[in-house]
Amino acid sequence: MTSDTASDLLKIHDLHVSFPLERSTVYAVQGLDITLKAGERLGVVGESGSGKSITAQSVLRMVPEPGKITSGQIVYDGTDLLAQPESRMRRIRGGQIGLIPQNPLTSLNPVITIESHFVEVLTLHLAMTKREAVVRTVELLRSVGIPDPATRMKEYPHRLSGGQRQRVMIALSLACEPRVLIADEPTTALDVTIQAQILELFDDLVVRNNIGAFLITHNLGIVAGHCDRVVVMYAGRIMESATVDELFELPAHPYTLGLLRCVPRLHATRTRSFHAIPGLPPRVTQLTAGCPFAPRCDRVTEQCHNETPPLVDVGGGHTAACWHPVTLTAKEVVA
Amino acid sequence: MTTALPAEPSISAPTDQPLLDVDGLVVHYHVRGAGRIVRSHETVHAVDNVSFTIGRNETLGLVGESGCGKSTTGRAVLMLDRPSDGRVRFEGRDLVGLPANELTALRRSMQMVFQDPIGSLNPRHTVGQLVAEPLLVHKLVPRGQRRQRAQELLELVGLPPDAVGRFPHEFSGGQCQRIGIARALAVEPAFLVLDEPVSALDVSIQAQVLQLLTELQDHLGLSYLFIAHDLAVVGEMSDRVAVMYLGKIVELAERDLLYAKPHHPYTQALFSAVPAPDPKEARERSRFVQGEVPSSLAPPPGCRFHTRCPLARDQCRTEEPRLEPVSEGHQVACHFAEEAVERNIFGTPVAADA
Repeated sequence: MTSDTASDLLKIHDLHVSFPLERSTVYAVQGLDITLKAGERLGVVGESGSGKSITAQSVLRMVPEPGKITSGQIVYDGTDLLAQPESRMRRIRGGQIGLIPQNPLTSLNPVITIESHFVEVLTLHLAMTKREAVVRTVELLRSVGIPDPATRMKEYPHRLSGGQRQRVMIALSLACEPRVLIADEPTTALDVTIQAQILELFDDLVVRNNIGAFLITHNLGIVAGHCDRVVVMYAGRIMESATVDELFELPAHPYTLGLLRCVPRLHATRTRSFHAIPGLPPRVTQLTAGCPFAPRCDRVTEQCHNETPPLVDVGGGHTAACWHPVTLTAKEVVA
Repeated sequence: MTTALPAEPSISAPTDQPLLDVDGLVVHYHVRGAGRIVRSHETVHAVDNVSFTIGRNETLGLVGESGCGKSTTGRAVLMLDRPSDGRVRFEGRDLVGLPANELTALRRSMQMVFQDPIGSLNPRHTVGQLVAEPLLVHKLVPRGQRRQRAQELLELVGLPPDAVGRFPHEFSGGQCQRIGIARALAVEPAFLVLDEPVSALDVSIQAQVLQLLTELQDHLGLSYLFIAHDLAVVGEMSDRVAVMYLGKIVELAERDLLYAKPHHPYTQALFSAVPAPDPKEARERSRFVQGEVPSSLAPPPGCRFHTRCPLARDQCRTEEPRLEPVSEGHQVACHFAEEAVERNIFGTPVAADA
């Protein structure tokens, strides 16, 4: 962790989340440390089951049943969110910490108008009158590029296209001028041309409002273009953390390297070659020593199976949890 | 095309006739409109006058955004959705209007792999039952040998033979997709429609399934209609690629020609919107296509892309461009294709080779 605490906006420390099931317990997040700075877009990348969404949900204390945050701290504005009473959490959720969910349709209430969504949030969190709230709604919708907002806000969610619904969700998440924004796979449900528009909007709003944002995604292409720093997660742990340029230029963890090689790329001529990582991501039901990636890793040694590698600095704030980090140049990475 | 494994003799001598010949395919759905008192009737123009061919041992990629009609095209080719008009010839026989029993018999040669690997498998059937079901339908293998055949098929797709006694929920998404592929291959088809076969899978698993599909094609001489929205994936799988927009093919070309020089402004827009997995390259991208796909209930007149096209002018709004050759093996439906290439309005990056 860097010592520049002045701009630290949100600090996750030693977070553990587990899901007790009937016959076993899934350890979804195991000892996570993440610091988010103001104005920073922090990418959290991982495959399904890596714990990236659970991390995001933990920040809002919205881990779905039967999941439990078993230990750790999430420090925001000098207080530990995990120690706050539910009543205070309700004010923070959607107030100072906003969420852009993955699926905008299921996140909007189908039986109330777009306008009602905004009025509810604005009157509840900012104590606006209804009249003020309506005026603000028009401004918010205009700021995310909804044409003719005064008319469109009278519509019900199903009348809007997927891209417009996500614009509405972004406007809604920004309604209370949050300082932290969590975007959980915000474009997974959208087409590429709409995805490009929405991510452009995301960049613009985060920078303009000096928001600290988590961008949770499985797509390294999105990370490359829309994040400042990246955390790579695997089996509930951080494998590597670096600035975007560092991560793509000099990945240190073999898992990161594997992911980079897997990304389908546009080649001028067809190569017919596919890079895969052999095996499957694990479902962690036992807390054992050793690197979770060891069974799929081509640099594996005896040590990897027996000792858990700590997350250590490999140079200039770039950290990796690996006994045998990769040393490659960018050209070799993609080759 | 090059093959890593020796192809079967019957494939090495292809006939002039394409395996699949789709001509003027139209699929319209009639829906009830949104009239308040008297319900009106409206038509969804899902697929409008689409023509293409697929040769033996060839892959045609079909790419486009949701609602462009690519999945409907795949389903209509197999007669899972009945075409409203047009012809679909498979091995020279027109499938449209074929009696149900003859169609069932022909389906032995044409199979489909679905997008949702888990949802497309009956959770109450064992993997063995699932893979052997097509054998039962087509009365191919005697009862006593079905289990063994199922094991062979599972081995072919890289699953352990003991999978026959297990249930789909015991497998991951990638493994379920392998089961789906084994099921499609059970009847030894010549042609597969692959409808977004890897889009539900994690990126580290996608490549495993794509590799398998490529090997199976080389080994068994299969032809594929590969439907996907991911241009990078389509590019590695296809010999030729068709780009669809609002029910029409706007560009159809040999794979390398299309990726080196996309001509249609929509194709260029699609390429420019693919997130580049490289921070420096990503920062240079700035021009994206604006607006959204219009409703297929009332597609725009003229060129269907004109509402979002920066090059659009009066001719585009009134006169529909036909799919015409711009070079050998490259067809484009745009009045101003040459200008589009020259101006490269979305700053489409020239695809770089690693």
